[in-house]
Amino acid sequence: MKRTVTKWGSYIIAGSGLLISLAPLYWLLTISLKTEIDQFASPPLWFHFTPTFVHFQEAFGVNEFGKYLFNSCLVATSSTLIALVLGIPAAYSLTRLKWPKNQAEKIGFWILSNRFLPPIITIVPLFLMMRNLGLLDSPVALIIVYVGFNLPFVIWMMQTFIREIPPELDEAARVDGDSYFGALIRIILPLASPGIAATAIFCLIIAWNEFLLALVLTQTESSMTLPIGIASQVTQYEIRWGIMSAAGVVATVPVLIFSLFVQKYLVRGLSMGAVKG
Amino acid sequence: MKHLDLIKMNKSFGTFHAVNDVSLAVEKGEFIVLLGPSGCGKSTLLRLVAGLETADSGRITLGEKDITDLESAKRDLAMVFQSYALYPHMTVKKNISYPLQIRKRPVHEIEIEVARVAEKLGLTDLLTRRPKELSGGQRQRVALARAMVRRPEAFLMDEPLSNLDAGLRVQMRAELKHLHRELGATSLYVTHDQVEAMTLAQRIAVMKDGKVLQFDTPKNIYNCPVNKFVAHFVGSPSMNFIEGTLDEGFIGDFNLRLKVSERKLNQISTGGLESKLTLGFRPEDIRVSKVAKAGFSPARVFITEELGNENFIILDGGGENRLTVRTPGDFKVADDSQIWIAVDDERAHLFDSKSGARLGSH
Repeated sequence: MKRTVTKWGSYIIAGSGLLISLAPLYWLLTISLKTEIDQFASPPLWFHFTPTFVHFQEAFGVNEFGKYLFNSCLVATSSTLIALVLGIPAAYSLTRLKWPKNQAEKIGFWILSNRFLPPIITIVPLFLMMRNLGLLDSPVALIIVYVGFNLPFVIWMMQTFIREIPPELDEAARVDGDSYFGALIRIILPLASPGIAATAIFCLIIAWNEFLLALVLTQTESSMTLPIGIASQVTQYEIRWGIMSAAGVVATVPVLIFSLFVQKYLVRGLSMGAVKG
Repeated sequence: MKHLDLIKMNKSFGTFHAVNDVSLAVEKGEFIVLLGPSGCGKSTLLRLVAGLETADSGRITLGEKDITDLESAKRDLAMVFQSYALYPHMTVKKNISYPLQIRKRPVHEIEIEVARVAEKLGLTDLLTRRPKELSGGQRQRVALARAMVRRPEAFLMDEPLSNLDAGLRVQMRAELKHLHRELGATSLYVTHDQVEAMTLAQRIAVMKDGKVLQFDTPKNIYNCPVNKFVAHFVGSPSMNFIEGTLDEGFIGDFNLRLKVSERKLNQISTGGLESKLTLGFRPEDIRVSKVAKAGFSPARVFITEELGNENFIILDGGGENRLTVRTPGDFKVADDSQIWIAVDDERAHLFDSKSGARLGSH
C-alpha cells in the first residue's frame, strides 16, 4: 500500500515537473501554428484551432531564416569542434605532464578565470578588433569569439574527465611504444568519449543560444544567427509572433536531435566518477 | 655480462628522497626482485627504469645503450602494472597486439605473434572478450601476454600479483617462474612480499628509505643479512631478537638470558662489545628441551600455534618482545609452562643495537 503511494507520488512530482518545463514549448509550437487571430484569442485556444504553416513559409520563404539557421549551424558546430580540438590536448597536458610545482593548477585556474569576466565588458574591444581585421559581419568573427569563450570550459571539464582515467593506462601505452600524443588518441580519447560528448553539447548550446556578442558582431543576414534573426522580428511597428515562434521551433530542433543522439554518452558523462564503471 | 645497469640513481619528490644513490647491475637473463616495505622507493626505481619518472641524477644502460634520456617508448622495455592497466575499450586480442600495432608490424606477423603468446598463456579462447569480462587471474595473464608479445630487452613488473587472492597468487608465482625459465629474459620485479621475493628471485635487492641495503641471492640474504632490518624483513615468521648488554657471556634480562658463545664473541672487535647488542636468530635455529640441560636457558611459553606438520611456540621474551620457535608437530608444551632453549650458535647473528649493523663475519 505504502509503496503504491510512493510510486504514484513520484509519478505526480515528475509529471508536474515535465508539464512545467514543456508548457512553454507547447505554447511556442501552437503559436507558430495559429493564425494571427487565434494567437490573441481570449480565453486562449489550447487545443481547438486550425493549424497553419503560413508563419513557417513566411520565415523561411520570405524572410532570411534559412540563412540564419545555416549561420547558426556553421558557427555553433565549428566553434565547438575547434574548442574541442584545442581544449582536449590542453586538458591532457595539464593533467598528465609533469609541471614544476603546481604550475598546472595555476594555469588551469588562470584559464578558467577568463570566464570570471562578464562578456559584456569585452564587447567594445572585440568590435574594434573585428573591425580592424575586416571580420565584422562575418561568421568567422563569431567562430573565433565562441572558441575563446568555450575553450576554458572545455579545458576545465575535460581535465576532470581525464583525471578519472587511471594514469597507468597511458603510462602502459607509452611503455608499449606509443608517444604522448598517440596515447591521447588511442587510449584517452576513446575512454573519455562520454566526457567529450557532454562537453560538446555544452559548448554547442552556449554557441547556439548566444545573443549579446552576435548582436554586436553581425549586421546583415550574411552572418546573423537565429537568436538575432528572431529578435529582429520585434520591430518598431509590430511584433511578429508567428514568425518568431516558427523560427523558435526550428531553432529547437537541431539541438534536440543532437542531444538525443549523444544522450547515452551524456548520462554516463555527467555521472562519471560517481560510480566506478 | 651486465645487461641492465643502474648507476648512482637519485630521485626526490620535493623534500622526500625516494631513491637515494642506488646502483644495481643486473646480469643478462637474471630475475631481480626489489623488495622492501611501502614507501621504500622500489616502485619509483622501477618507474625510473621504465622512463615514467625522470631521474634527478644517475645513468641507466640497457645492453650497450644508454637509455637515461630516452622516452619510455624507445627503451624497448615491457612493464606489467599492479592494476594490470589493460585498455578497457579493447578486446583481449587488441590489448595484446597493441605494442605490435604501434610498431606498425605487418598484419600477418601480428596474428602469428598474438596467437603464440595467447597459446602459451592459455588465452586463446578469451581473445574476443573485453577486460571487464575476465577474472583477476585472466587479466593478469593478458597483461603478461601484452608484455611478452614483442620480446622486449627486459621485463619490469610492479607488484603484479598483489591484486590476486592468496591461492591464485601462489599459482601465478609458479607460472611466472616457469615463464622466466623458458624466456630467460632480464626481469626486474617489485614486491613487498618477502615470500614472493625468496621464491622468484635469483638475486634480491632489499630496499629501505630509498637505499639498497643488500643485493644478494635469496639464500645469502636469509642466512647472512647485513643488518637488523634485512634480518627482520626477510623470513616468515620473522627473526627473533634479544637486546641487551653482554654480561659474562650472556645477553638478555631477567625474563630470558641467552648464552653467546666465545666463538661468536671472538669474531667481534672489542669495541663492539661495550655498546648495546642485539642477538638475532631464526625460529628454526633454536633447540628446545622440556627439562633443564647444560647450556640451555629457561623460558616461559606464551602460547603455542599448531600447524599440523610443525608448531610455533611463542615465548615470553620480556616486555613486548616475543620469540618464536619452530618445532616439529609432535613437540607439545602447555601454555605458561617453562621450557629450556639454546640458540644454534652457528646460525645466530649479533647486531649493533644502535646502528642495526651485523657485527663480525659469518
